Amino acid sequence: MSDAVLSVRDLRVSFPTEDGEVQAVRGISFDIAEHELMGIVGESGSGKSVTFLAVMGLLPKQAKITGSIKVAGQELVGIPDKTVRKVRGKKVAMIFQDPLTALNPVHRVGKQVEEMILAHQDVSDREATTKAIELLEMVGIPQPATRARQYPHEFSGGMRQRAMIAMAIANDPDILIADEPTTALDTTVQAQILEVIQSIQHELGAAIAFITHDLGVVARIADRVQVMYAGRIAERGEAQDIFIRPTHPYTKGLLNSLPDSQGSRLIPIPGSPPNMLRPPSGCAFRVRCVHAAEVCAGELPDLRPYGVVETACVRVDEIIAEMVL
Amino acid sequence: MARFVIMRTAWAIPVLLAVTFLTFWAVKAATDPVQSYLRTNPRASVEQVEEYKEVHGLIGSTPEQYVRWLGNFLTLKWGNSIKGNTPVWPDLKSALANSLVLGTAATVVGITIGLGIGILSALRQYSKFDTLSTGAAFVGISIPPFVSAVLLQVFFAIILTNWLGTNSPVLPVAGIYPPGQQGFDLVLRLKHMILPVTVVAIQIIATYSRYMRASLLDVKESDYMRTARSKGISERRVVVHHALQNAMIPIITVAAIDIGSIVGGLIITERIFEYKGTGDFLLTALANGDFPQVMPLMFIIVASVILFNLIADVTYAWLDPRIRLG
Amino acid sequence: MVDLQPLRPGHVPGDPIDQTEGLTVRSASPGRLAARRYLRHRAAMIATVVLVIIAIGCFLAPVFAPYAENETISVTEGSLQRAIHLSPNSQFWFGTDSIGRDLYSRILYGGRVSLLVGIASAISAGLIGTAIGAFAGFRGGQIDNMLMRGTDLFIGLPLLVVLIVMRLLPEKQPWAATVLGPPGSKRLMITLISLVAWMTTARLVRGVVLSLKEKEFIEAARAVGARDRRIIVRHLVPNTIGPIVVAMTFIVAAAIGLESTLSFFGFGLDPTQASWGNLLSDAGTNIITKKWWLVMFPGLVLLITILCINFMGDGLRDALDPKQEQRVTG
Repeated sequence: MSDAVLSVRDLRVSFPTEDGEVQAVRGISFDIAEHELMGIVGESGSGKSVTFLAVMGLLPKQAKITGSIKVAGQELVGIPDKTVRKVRGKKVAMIFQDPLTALNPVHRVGKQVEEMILAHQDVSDREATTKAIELLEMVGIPQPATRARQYPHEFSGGMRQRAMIAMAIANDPDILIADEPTTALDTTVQAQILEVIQSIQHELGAAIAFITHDLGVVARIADRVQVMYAGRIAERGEAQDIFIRPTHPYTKGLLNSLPDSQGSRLIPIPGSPPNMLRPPSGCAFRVRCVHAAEVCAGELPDLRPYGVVETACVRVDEIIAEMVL
Repeated sequence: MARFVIMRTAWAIPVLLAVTFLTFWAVKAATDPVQSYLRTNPRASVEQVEEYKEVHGLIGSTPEQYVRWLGNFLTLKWGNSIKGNTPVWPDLKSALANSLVLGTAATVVGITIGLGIGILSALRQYSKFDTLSTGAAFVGISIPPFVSAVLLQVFFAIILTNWLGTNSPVLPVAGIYPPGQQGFDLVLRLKHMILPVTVVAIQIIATYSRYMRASLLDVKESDYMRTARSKGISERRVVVHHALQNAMIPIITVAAIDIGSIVGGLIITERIFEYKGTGDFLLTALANGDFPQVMPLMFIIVASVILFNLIADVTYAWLDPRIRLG
Repeated sequence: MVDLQPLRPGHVPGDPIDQTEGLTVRSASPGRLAARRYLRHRAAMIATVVLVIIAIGCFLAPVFAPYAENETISVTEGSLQRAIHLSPNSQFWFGTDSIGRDLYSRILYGGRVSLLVGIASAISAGLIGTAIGAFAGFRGGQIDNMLMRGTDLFIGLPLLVVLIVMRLLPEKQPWAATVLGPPGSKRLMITLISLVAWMTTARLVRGVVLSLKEKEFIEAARAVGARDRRIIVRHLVPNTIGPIVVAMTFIVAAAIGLESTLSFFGFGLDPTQASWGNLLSDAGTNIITKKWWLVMFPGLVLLITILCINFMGDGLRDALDPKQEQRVTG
């Protein structure tokens, strides 16, 4: 895909610890196209955040990263941090989960946005100030000139997240990574922030990687969805396909655990995610999967096309057949 | 902010009065001023004793005495010492000046080195340097200053001198000047300060390297550091502009408090190195039961502690917008 | 969350980080986990061994010391004479002092006193601090406020000045000798040190109590009508025991340092009583006469002891409360 703004190939990330290596990401490949909003779904520990922190080059030093990450054609794995810094914040920017702690408490909000502009654009301080105020206005912060001179603690949670977004889009990035941007917020504020993100995408045309554990949010806004489990991709496809006809038992489990509009009982997935020091052989989900068979413990399953989606379940034919019967 | 400063200042005054009253009571009990006077001046006339009591406010109940004493103290009627019957202020002034010189030198040296070590340690957490400096800081905190002082004396006055075969100690281990020295001599003065400054600085370095390391590590883990890195700014800017600025806030506050106790905190070092500062002044005065000398110094010590606590509070509020504007 | 949890080399299996990951949680009791963490703290283990050796040597001084505490020894060197100021040799390992006493024996006997004062002060300071801290934390409000402001201020005052002034009280005032202890006595030292050392424990306990107070099991205890005192004793104290033990360990080290400092300056124990501070005090006047061993050995033993206790405290803190790193405001 030539129009991919983010292209990841066979990415592996592990963290050495005293007890062995924690294998957080275990060989994943994907592309995100221009203007695309891709939802990345998974539980805590599925490797979804680690993947995108790797894209940003923000993993701790001891993390071992192999494979390839290209942002707008620029390779980011195995090259000096100095080069990565030119891409980070400019071509790719990130919105973090908790706006309460993600802004520096001792710097004025406007200054924090300006710093982002000055890092990558050759403009004067005054121009940067003006631009920062415009950005704050663009994300829907009232009285942006006054607000720019305030400190983060004077902002509400929603306002802080807007400021984060203003900062992230300051250099008109090709791709924006939003790491659970609404999780820490109240429900009403969540909806507002989602609107801001959608309108930003509309206006700037940036691609967005929207990381979340909330399938409901993804269903509302995403073009495509990629479901991650235990450092692997379980399933990927157009959002409506995934929601209407999930093929991977894990995706199904996630959907069943969602409260639906009739308010029917939600069924949680039994068990808990595996220990990534020693992940189970074969399909990592098999230990929690009702459909698990001997074949699942064999080779590590790769994504392969199944109908309109791609799935990593080796028993997908049998399972679908069972369900039809 | 202005309101905050006024409130805190207004609170500091009753605290100062309460603590100095307690101090007055304790010092009076510990020195027994009238008996001490009579012991030194056994043939003092009734008028002399009365005058002595009058000047030092030793008439009436303890609260009355305190009020009288405070009045005289504030109007600078400090009177004469019991021993030697010399005016209190000139001796105290020179002791204060000497202590401030020693304290300031040690604080500047100690904090500079301590912060440097702490910053490097935190930036290279778990490195050899970090392990080594953490261990060294542990020793520095554990060693009582009088032990490091006497060990340094032994080393410079005996062991190193024997080894080099010189007759006089490599570094002077006592006093401010060699015996018989007249007038000011910068080189000699500095040489005499090396060991006392070292003893005090060891503690400061050990403490502040720990403070700085802990504070910076705390900040390093915070989310806004990741945000700062995500901007693609240089690592140097991330460290200086984001990490250090935040990490320094608690350090500056602690430093302000510590500076307040310089005057009373050098007793050990001054005594061992026969450095004529407030510590030496206080111990000698206490040994003589010299209430007229002890009480003004105690008041100054307490007042400086309270004043610098106040300064620390205000600085903290001023540095941290969450409190300044909150 | 394995995603964002920073991984540190020192982390031990069984920490929460592993448990959230799921299937292979080992169940170990908190006590066993703490013991395991302590055993893995290398500095603390070495310190424990060294300290145990020193403590056995001191407490069994009559067994290990070749001479009695105040025995003046004579040696035959041509003629029989007092063993005055002999430098360390095979008979007198650490040399002898100005009136011919064996320094090694005196260090052992002195250690007994210094360790005793240190431990006794820490226990009483720990008890006072725990009681007051628990009370303040549990009651809250004005009492708590006053107490914390008071201790804030007191912690700022130069410790040694306060101690020296208090130390002089019993010499001048009979009532003080009765209440605090006679001048030069061990009791006076222990009382004075406890009086200045309880505050750190009080603040610590208060902090823990304040945070525990909000927890559900305390609410539950209240709901079933348990009385305050009962709640303090039955629920809060067991939960604060870890931090208290750690704090008390550090107080032992500080108390030994304070006792020796005060004794060194003649404000401590009776000068005829062998204690590490008094040994150094005797030696202090000998620096000019170049009797280096009189300073070196007591000084090093004192330093090593304090260092070992602090390392143990550090190990205990890591073991009992792995999340609590040293904070600036400590």
